[in-house]
Amino acid sequence: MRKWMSLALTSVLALLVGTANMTFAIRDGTLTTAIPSFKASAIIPNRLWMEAPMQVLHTFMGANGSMLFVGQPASGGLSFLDRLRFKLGDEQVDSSKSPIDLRRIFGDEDLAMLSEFVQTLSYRSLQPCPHNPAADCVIAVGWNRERTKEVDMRWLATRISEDTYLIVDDSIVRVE
Amino acid sequence: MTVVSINFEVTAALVMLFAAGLAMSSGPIIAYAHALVAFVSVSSVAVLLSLILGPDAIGHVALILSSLLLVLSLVLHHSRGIVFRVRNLAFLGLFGLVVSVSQVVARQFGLSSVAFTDGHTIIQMAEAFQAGSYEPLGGVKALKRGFALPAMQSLGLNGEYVVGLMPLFFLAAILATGWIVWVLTGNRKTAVAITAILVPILLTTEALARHTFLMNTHSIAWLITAVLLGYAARAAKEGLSRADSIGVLISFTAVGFLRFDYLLLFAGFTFFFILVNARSRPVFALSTVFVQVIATLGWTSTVVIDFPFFGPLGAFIVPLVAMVGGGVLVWIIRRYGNDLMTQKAYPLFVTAGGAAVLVIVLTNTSASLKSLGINLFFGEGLWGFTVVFVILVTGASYFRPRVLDKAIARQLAGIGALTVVLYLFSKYGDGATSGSSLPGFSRVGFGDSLNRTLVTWVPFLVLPLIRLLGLWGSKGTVKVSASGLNKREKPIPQG
Repeated sequence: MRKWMSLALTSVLALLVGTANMTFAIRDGTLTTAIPSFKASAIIPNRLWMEAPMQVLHTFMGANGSMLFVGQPASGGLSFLDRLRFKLGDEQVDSSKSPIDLRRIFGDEDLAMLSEFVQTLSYRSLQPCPHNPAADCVIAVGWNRERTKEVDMRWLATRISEDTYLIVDDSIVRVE
Repeated sequence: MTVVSINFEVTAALVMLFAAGLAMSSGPIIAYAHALVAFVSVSSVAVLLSLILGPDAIGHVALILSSLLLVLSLVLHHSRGIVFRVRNLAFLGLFGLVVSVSQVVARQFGLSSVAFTDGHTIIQMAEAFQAGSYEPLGGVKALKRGFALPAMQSLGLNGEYVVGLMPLFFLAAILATGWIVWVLTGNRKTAVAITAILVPILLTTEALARHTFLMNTHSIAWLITAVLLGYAARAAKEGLSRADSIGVLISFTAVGFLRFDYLLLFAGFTFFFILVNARSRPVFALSTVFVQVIATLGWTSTVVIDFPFFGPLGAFIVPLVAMVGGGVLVWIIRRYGNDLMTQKAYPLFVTAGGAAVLVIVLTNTSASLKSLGINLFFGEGLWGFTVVFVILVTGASYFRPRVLDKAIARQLAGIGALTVVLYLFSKYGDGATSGSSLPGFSRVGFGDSLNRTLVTWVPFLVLPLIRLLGLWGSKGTVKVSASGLNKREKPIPQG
């Protein structure tokens, strides 16, 4: 009887944990769908794995906002912008405009909405802060899932609080 | 019109290897595991031979090698007729169907996971092998990207990698994990129950589910761990049959072909098989090291320029040190060994303890443990609540009566502990080659090597689960007792 009880309890626990796991993380990084080619020579130069931006941005964060495993690891890697250029391509990263502190533009309500977006819909990663490697920051990546694979989708990298950076597509935040 | 492409060479090679597995071991699950593990070595040898015969020969050589293995297993095994039984023919058909469906589904839906630079290197190597334009690797890439996975993927169609291959390894790893329960308990109901409990956990844990398609060796390492753990359990319980021994050697050969640092990751298993076999079967004990060294030298001497340590000689020095070390270990056990040394867990735990001290001294342990904790408990490693589940199951199992023999359970746990510590030690080498003064073994995020490699130890979870659930159903139930130790002294069954 105890054996059946153990089985029942363990099964229930497994199902509860499984259900909780399903709600725990955004799962866009599990795999890429609808990839048009399985050839390395087509996949890599055309960045065909880009359906889930989190896959690109999440893995390579290193200390000092550097990118890991690019070129010579001992050299310290790349800066945050160079990291984006490396993964997205030079032409895709526009750093010509001065950085804007959204905290001065947005009101408390807008910032609260962005914070909620970070908590519920973005993919969060705890990394050394780009502005201070000694501290930890949340780097959140979020995008409008309906725009997946949309050509010319624009992304904005911004800082919304002391310890939170947010990288989002321009359907979520647009700065004119 | 959509064209459904099935890779005939890969499918046929896998089906032949599955048939060889059926002839050798007679069980469909372990035959499936063997087929995939043998495919690692078959495709590696095919690529090595293609360096002489030309790239067009890779597929043909893989087919020839697979058919040779099938013939060999039919000739060697007394009950070869078993393959042609209706039930096993049905399993052959089912296996072929699974292999085909995996390819068709992955292609139709464009399923893939090659977003990481590791995966880029692997598919680029595969494409180069296939085109015959491979440039030998050097440095950290040579150390970490290995050989067998690109070799397998080079069997793809027309410049592609092999579509839908990785899910086959993932499925094999899950099934082989369930097979361990059957080996340990001899109780099919227990095996089915534990597998049924594990499946929802495995599929809903993002850190594990990612390995379904991830272009990396982790799911293969999980599979090999499950197979070797099953054979370790059998070795501790009742000794290995000839078929089991071949299964062990096939697994270790795959280890040698996969990645250079896997010599260290699987050294815990190597140590165990040497311990329990050195006195009664010294040739087999030595062979467990020998096949790994030969497989490693096979590719490090041909497709690698140099390693981050010892330069061009690194590829030779480390495997030869492993070979000599294995030989010395066998000699010591034969000369001075006793039952206490070969049938108890303490040599495994003492070695693990020694290696742990080295890890603590040589690495930034506190920072690494902090990162590991963040990965495991705070979502960064994508483990969800699974680690909590593991802790609850392991803790609760201590309040249940012991089901497995204490000595055997401890030996298997000892292998697990040693494997973990040796992997952490290899991470020290990893960091040291990158120029870090006090390397760590963990960093925050799913992409951390340790975080991804944790999947390797999933098979060990069956130990607390078996104890927690106990055994039910009297038929076929085996309560292993101290007799397990005595059985090892009996002659080893041949066949």
